[in-house]
Amino acid sequence: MLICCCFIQDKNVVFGQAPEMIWEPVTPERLLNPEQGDWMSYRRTYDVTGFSPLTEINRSNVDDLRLVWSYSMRDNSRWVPTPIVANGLMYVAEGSGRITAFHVESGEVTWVHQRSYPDDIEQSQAYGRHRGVSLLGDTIYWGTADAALVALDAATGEQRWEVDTGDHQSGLGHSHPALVAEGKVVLGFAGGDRGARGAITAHDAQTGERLWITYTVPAPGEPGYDTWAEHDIPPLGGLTWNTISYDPDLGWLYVGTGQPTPWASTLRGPGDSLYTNSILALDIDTGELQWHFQVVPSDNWDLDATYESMLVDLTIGGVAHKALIQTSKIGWGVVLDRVTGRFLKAFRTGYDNLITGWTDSGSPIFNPSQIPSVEDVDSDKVFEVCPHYHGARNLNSPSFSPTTGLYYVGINNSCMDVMFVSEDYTPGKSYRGIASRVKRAPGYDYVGEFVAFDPVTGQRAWEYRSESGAAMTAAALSTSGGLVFGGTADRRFFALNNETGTLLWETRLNGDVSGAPVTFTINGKQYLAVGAGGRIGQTTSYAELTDTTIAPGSGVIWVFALPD
Amino acid sequence: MARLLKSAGRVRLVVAFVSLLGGVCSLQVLALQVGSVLDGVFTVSQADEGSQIFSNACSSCHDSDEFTGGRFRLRWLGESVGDLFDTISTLMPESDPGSLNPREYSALVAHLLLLNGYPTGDVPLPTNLRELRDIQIESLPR
Repeated sequence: MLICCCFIQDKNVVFGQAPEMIWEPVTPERLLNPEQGDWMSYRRTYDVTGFSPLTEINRSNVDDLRLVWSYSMRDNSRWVPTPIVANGLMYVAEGSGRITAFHVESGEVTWVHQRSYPDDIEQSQAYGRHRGVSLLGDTIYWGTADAALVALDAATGEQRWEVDTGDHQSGLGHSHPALVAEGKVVLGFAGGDRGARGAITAHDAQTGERLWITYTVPAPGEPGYDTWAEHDIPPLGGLTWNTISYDPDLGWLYVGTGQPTPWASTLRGPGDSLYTNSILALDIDTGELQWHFQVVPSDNWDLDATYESMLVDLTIGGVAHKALIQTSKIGWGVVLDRVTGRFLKAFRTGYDNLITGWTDSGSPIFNPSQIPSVEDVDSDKVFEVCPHYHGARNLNSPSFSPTTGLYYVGINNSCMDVMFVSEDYTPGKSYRGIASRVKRAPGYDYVGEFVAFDPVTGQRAWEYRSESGAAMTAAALSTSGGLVFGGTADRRFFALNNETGTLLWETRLNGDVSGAPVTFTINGKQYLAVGAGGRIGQTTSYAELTDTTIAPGSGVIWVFALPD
Repeated sequence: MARLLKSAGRVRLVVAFVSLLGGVCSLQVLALQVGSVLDGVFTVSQADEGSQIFSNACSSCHDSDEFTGGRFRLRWLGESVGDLFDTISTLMPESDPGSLNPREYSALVAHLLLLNGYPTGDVPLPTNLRELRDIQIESLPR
């Protein structure tokens, strides 16, 4: 019998009472080498391939999937949940400051932890955006919108401790789950549209003590400072709000960084603006930078490179590499050697008229007609820029199958009319320097396509498009059942044959399939869970291009399984 | 295309070609209800209320200059006031979209129109989406 009771700890509240349970600790070894039915961290493994070895749900039976349960959440905007599961409980985070624990088999809400935010929480860009939590031992680690690291009892939701990680009044907060490894909780920050200064930080998992913090944009005299022009404001931006990957053999973290402040070089001045829009390799023990690769130097268009560096060993041109693959907002993916940072290749992903090619050393070659000059500011000159600033892809994570060797990701083809404008700087507010209006890519009567890339050749193996051409919104999930799952802005949650791209199953959910599908087992039975209705950037920006209706209402968690 | 423009009680009739049949031009007057932001479609007090609402509900993330000048023109010229209302009322505030009431969203739209130099009138902007969609966002005469 579940008795509802409230524990008031400091200012936070836990509703519900956990059933009697024996908690099997999430060991470091288990995070390093998950069991087949585990999904205990954001992309399941440190290499962030987002791949499951489960086979119960497969090509022959996926269209027998049935709904086990669904549940209405509170978040109704910018909700991109990735549930994680341990000991029969599934944890879902929300930007409204809630963590909900579901007992998967029964669909009951076991507990809800509601954080009490300060009155000025809206200053944090992380407020209203939260994508998940992390696990180690019997503890949930939660980076919060008000820039704290909170430790909760994973069985009961009660808070154990919290430590400050930054100043939310400067725009900083945490929207994305931490990476937990080597006894450390590693967090990035959101705040790039509030003029915050980007950083990565690591805290001790036992005590919460800060171990190190590495800033992504320089103070005077620091490396990279000479890549910023003299300005009234210091180097700002380079935030780190997406997935961190980890190579345990090297002991290195891979983190992507976001756009500079302001967006436009016409206001910011010339220079590459290191280390914005870059991939950084950091030592997990010290936070020291090992190498960097800048994907979009001297940005004008908010083309963040914050996205995950997926760690895959690839043989390219007959040479074996410990490689990484990163796709980001630009219509290109890059493949690097993750030991040296050396550029190996780039491949086109979506429609892009900004970058026409890459030098051998990995510098993007920009279309010269797209580079603005100061004379363009307030001139009414319109540039057609592709992709739109919500990108060829965004928060929808890719997945890699070791069986097919294919890299799967939802791609959106879009453009924007851009004008460069003057703007006053207000601390804590977005500082851009461009006006924009979304439009279709030339010659395209669709936006979204789900694509399988061969990262060795850079070619497309296949692509899948729904009839509506609506934007791709969900992360990809590939499995050993021969399947890959994806989802769209027009509510379609689908499964494809992961070798051929043939549609094998589709259902329509309550709203845009905004979250990441995950799959796991409880007592030997395979489940598939996904969040939808989050009304994310790709949905709201691209809907008009495909006459897609944006469903009103809030997010919902959906759980599917095969019949018993 | 013939357009019947109704503005503050004044009716403007624009007559134009509709079809050319066998060398004979046939003129036809079509009655369509289409308004314009140039005609004074909101009131001063409505825009004032909108300014307050902007301060309370929007200014934690937004500066009003995001919605004026070139930025406003690029995004909204050629669209209808209904499109503007629909976008704001379904997507904003970002942390709780649709949480204001329709009157408040109308007042916000009035505030933005005033910020962009459009004239005020005697009749407040309605909250009815169909009526709002009939009001075109046109550029101010230079």
